[in-house]
Amino acid sequence: MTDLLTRYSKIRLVYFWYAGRMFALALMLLIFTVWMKSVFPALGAVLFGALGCLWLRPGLRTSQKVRRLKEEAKTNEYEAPSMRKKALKMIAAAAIPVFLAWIAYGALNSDGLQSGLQLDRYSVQRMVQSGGDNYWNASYGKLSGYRQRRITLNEGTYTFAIEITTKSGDLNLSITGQDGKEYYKGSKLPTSAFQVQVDIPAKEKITLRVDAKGHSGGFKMKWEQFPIPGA
Amino acid sequence: MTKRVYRYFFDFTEGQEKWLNEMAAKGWRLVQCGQLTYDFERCAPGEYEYAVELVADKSYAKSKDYKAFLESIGYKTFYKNVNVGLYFGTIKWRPWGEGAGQFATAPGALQKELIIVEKKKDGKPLNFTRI
Repeated sequence: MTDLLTRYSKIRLVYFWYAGRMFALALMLLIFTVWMKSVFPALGAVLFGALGCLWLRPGLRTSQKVRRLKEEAKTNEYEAPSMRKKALKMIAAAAIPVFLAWIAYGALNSDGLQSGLQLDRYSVQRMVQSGGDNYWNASYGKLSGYRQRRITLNEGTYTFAIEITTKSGDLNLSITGQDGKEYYKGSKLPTSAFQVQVDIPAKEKITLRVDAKGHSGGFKMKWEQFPIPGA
Repeated sequence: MTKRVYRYFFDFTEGQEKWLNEMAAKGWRLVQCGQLTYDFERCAPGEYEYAVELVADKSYAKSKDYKAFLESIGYKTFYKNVNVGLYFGTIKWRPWGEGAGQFATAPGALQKELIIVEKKKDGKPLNFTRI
């Protein structure tokens, strides 16, 4: 009986593990579907979901067997070893370091000198984007929603060289300080190239934000301290 | 006379076992299996019976020992995979494993998650681990 119970418990865990992996992939693809508004990840999600179900079915059947065997074992006053507890412990042991590493990564990135977190809500068609320590470029077929980038700048005067390309739609751009201080705000920007000087009194987190409404074109932003310290 | 059948079992223990026993009942004896293939040869209907054992919880050394033990008592055995794909230099974590069996490597225990056991039908049950 103990052999049988352990055997089926393990088999059940294998089925659920494989099904769970497929469902996790399906969920990830569903998120991509919503994010990218594309049908291909949706098809992938359906495929992985179906594969998950195919593994889940025998898993549930085995689970019923395990329950039946446990009941039989109880009547024989036998306490079955819990595979579920073991599995949960192992998953927690693996998940906690990953979670902590993720939090640490996020924290480091938000506090990094000139890198930053992106907190966006947008939909886009055909976008090419590049970003570095002192620049942010994007070119796209159509952008709606907002994209923002948070950077940390040291005390000094900075020059933001901005190039906007507008084929159609509206694009607003703002440069905002940590306490909400607005260094620059431009609405419905046409195709243009201009510079904005920003005085930063003390080390500060700056938010660069573009708000687009069916905007077709792109933008380029480059920021440099002026004059360059030590030059 | 031989034949090759392409098949993958999501229900890799009982479903696979049932199907192999059905094939044996129809007079097909398993001679070899690949990732998605089963090679059969003709035999007398119902001459053999099959069981599928999960060995994915064991380390590769232990699973080989177990396979050798089964062969020493007169059973024919085949390794069978659950994972499909080409693996080399891969390590996979298996939460259901015990000791070294928690990690499967390729080459090694990866894609050798199951053992198919063949026994001549002699009236005695094939329940070696199910006592």
